[in-house]
Amino acid sequence: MILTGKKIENEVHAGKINISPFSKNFLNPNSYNFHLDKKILVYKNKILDPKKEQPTDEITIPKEGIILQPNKLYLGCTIEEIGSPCYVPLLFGRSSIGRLGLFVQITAPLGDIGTYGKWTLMLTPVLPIKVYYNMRIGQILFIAPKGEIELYKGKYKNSKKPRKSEIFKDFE
Amino acid sequence: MILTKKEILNNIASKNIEIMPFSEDQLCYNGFNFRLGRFLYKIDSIDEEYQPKTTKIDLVDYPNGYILQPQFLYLGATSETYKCDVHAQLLYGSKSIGQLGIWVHISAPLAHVGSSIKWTLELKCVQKVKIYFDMIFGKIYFLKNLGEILPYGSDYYFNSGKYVNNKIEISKKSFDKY
Repeated sequence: MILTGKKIENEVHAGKINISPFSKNFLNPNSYNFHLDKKILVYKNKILDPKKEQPTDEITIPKEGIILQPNKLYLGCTIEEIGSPCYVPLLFGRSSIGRLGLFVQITAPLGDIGTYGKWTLMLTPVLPIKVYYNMRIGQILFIAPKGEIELYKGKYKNSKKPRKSEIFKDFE
Repeated sequence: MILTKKEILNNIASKNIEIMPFSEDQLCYNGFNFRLGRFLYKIDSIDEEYQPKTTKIDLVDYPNGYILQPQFLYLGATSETYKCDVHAQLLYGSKSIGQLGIWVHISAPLAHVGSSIKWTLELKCVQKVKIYFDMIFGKIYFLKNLGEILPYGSDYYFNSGKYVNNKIEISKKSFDKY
């Protein structure tokens, strides 16, 4: 079962969903619109190796926006810190963004129960596209779980900025 | 509704979910971490009859990693077989894989109730990236059904049941029945 906008609002007030900052203005019938934060990470290496930590450059989106180029991966993040100890979050780009050919997530749209923090966005455009700080870029949905809940304690919890892949830790 | 770790374990105990091979270490908070299977098919081209030209790759031959190239599509598979006659399944890459710019599915992340499959993975990358045999690659989720369950491959559904065995299926004429 998927939560309605009204239910999301109620659960935010009840502390069962955490969205910070939260404004009623960004609720949709089944989701909440989130915004693109200032910082973007890009990998320095031409060939990425999951077994090794990959160095990145950090870019700050200027006031006039920044043009993202195809065939390049930009790791951005949400302005909002989002999560829930009670529901499974599901994150997608907005349809208005998809229609411009911008992938907001490449994969892994489903979060773990108990996760909380800024969500890393895997921005990849099909065509060159300008993005701006604070633009409404995607939506987060919440799905009811079935069964006893154990809360997420993984490596991406409490993120305050975009996170590069830490898959190299799986090989240690 | 999506099954939690505990609920997946309960379903494994009752054999409603079968994962082969199963390791409890691969369970996560509301899903199961799958591993990348041994073989890949690099799709060099696909003709008008949907017949692809492919190159078969054995990842075991690449202990230092096999490099995916952005201009190709690759079909891979999960190491495990997943069988479930009670729940539907969803598959996604893990965050760590997406953050490296790897699509694990181009589309169709859903396995219908009644499937018994090694999932075929539709791999594509943004920039060159190495992959390794047996690495943790993504997650399988289980969704509770609402309504009467008829098996995958049932005659009731006009177009279901094409992908019932465990091979990486290169090409199926999706429109055979039309």
